[in-house]
Amino acid sequence: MKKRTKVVLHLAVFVIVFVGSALVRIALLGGAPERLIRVKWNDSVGTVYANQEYENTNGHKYDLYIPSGLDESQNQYLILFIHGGSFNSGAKEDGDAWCKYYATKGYITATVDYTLQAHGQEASIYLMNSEIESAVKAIKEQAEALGYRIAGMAPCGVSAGGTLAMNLAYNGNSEIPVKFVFQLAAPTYFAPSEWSLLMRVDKLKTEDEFCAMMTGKTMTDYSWEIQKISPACIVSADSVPSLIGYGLIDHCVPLSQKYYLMNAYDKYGVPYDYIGFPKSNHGMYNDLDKLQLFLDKSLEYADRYFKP
Amino acid sequence: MKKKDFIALVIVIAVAIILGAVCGKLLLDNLI
Repeated sequence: MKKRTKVVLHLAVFVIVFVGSALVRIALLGGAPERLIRVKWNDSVGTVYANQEYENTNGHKYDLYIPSGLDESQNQYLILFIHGGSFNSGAKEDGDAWCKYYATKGYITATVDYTLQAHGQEASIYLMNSEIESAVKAIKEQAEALGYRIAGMAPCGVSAGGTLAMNLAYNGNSEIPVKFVFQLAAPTYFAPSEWSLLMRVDKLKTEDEFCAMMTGKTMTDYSWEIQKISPACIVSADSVPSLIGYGLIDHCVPLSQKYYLMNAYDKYGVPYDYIGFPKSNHGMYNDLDKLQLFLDKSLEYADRYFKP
Repeated sequence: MKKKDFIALVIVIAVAIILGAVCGKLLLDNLI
């Protein structure tokens, strides 16, 4: 074999193996959180009612998970997962492992689709909030039709889904009483100066364009509107207990975001727990011990706040 | 394939695996 052919061959092998190795590492590391919550699931564990309709103009649906053996004569409780994805991506299926995990703990669970930004439709936070509220109403009605009375719920979510979970929890518009909320890595305050990365992703040139997209409104001063869609600004003395987790090397959600929220909790005396993920970026894959702590804590919250 | 070529190929693969794994983690730590 000629020397030049050998070099080309070795280079090709190097590139292929390098890319393959990088992809395997990303898949293994990135999938670690989901492996932590994965549970065995079959018909004896529970039933999935997939693609259930709820009132919205864009044809979004939700999936409902009913654990086996629930007592119809007792109050039941719902954990609603809201997927993340920078408000412009993701799907309800992202919550499948979360829903199955909490369903095996005895809770009715659900995961919901909502209108996404940058897909050619108007998709303000207001619209997303109202869609989630409609989904909750539909879930309540469907659970009743199946014979279950849902007496309380806990919305939860990751990233953008965490924001929507908090909005539902704090704005008082939920058809099912919200008992607590838990979220990972959620944006809490939409001052445009904090969101240059999201603006670049969504190809927005000005802060006004960002505000218009988030609020669905055109105006000269967005400060009040931004507060109305920001969880940190709608926290009040009546807000429900909250469990939050943030990566300490998050490159997507500014590190300041968690402080806006915790300052509001402290100001209004809202009970909360904060778990820091010291080695994690936005995906929370590098601190599985902290994720386990977060999951255990969420179940503690359910024990404490779902009981009458 | 000569023994020398085989050893060279093994080294190339080993280095690619290690560098790929390191770069994969770096990418994850800095992107998402």
